[in-house]
Amino acid sequence: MIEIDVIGQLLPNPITMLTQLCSTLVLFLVIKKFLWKSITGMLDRRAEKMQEELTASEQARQQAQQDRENARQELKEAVTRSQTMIEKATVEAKSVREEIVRKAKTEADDQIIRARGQIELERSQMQSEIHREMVEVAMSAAEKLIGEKSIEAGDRQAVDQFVKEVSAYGQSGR
Amino acid sequence: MGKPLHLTIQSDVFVILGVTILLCLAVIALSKKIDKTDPLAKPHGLVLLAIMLVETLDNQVKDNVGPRIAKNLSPYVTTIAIYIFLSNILGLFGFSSPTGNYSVTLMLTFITWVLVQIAQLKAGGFKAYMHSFIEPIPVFLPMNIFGKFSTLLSMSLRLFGNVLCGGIIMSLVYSFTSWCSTALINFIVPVGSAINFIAPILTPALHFYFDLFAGFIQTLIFITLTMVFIGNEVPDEMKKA
Repeated sequence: MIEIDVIGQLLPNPITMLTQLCSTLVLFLVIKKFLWKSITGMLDRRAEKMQEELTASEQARQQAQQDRENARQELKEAVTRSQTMIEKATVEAKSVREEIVRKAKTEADDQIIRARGQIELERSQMQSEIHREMVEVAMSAAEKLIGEKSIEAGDRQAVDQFVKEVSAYGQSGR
Repeated sequence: MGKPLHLTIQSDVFVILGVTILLCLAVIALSKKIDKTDPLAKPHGLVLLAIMLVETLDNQVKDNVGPRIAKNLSPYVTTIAIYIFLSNILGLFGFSSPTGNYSVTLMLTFITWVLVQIAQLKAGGFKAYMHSFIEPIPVFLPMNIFGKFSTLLSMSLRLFGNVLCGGIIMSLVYSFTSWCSTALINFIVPVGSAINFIAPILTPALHFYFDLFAGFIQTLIFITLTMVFIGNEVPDEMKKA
């Protein structure tokens, strides 16, 4: 059974009061110096670390954003470059095609010119041949008509001149 | 029975010293444990309890008096909260509660009262403080003086009365259960005195109410009144600073 001295408990006792005052003071100092300092320190450290992590994540997010922006910019530049290259290649291809066509045309023209020259040459040779044949025929015909074997060189030249004139006349008449 | 202002050393003095030493050792040990705790790790056990207690009380004090005064007042409120609660529940361990001694509650309330007066002096200055005794007219001087000390009396007597009454009621219950046990045993076998076997059946619930519940409520009332009385004297602009 608990016995309680109510009067003793009720009346203020200086020793008890002084003890209580000192105890409260000591307890306050100990709690403030140790418990309060430790807990507030821990909470501050926690807040600081969380802030650091938040800052780091924010920086990472910004870096990712920057990288994404860079990648987008590079992609855009690559697309622009590729378009430029395609346009340049198209222009070059067109230029090459025109050059090839021009060369082919030049070559074809040259060949035509050469062919014409060749034709002209052959025709000239043919005309000379015909001319010579005609002279020969004329001379043979003349020899047969005259009955002489030898015809003077001057006559031959006259016949030749005649054939040339006829030929020139024929050419100019056409 | 003692005489007024006698200088005998009461048994509560040893209990006060024991509680103080125990709390100091526990606080130092706990602070060492907290220092070693990883700040980002999830706290457990006593560390969690201490953090919750400190954060809750600190927020309450800040709400009432502002962050500037809370810097020093929060540790004090934490101190009296821990001390009063532990003192109130000492009855569970077979000790007499120090808060059942009026000298103890009077001294605890006196510290709070002094803090209230300091807050009032800081807020309005000495002239306004002295002038408050004769407000609204000088005739009110006796009532104002009584009003100043009524806080001291009401707070100290409330805590003392509740704890002491709890102790007295429990003492009566133990006496009654002892008498019942003896009567019951003697009714069956006349052996004279007998073991109080009824008490362990009946008293746990009463201990829970008078020691734990009432102890907690009285602690809460005491610290709340401390914060409110001091907060009432702090100007609003100082609370926001």
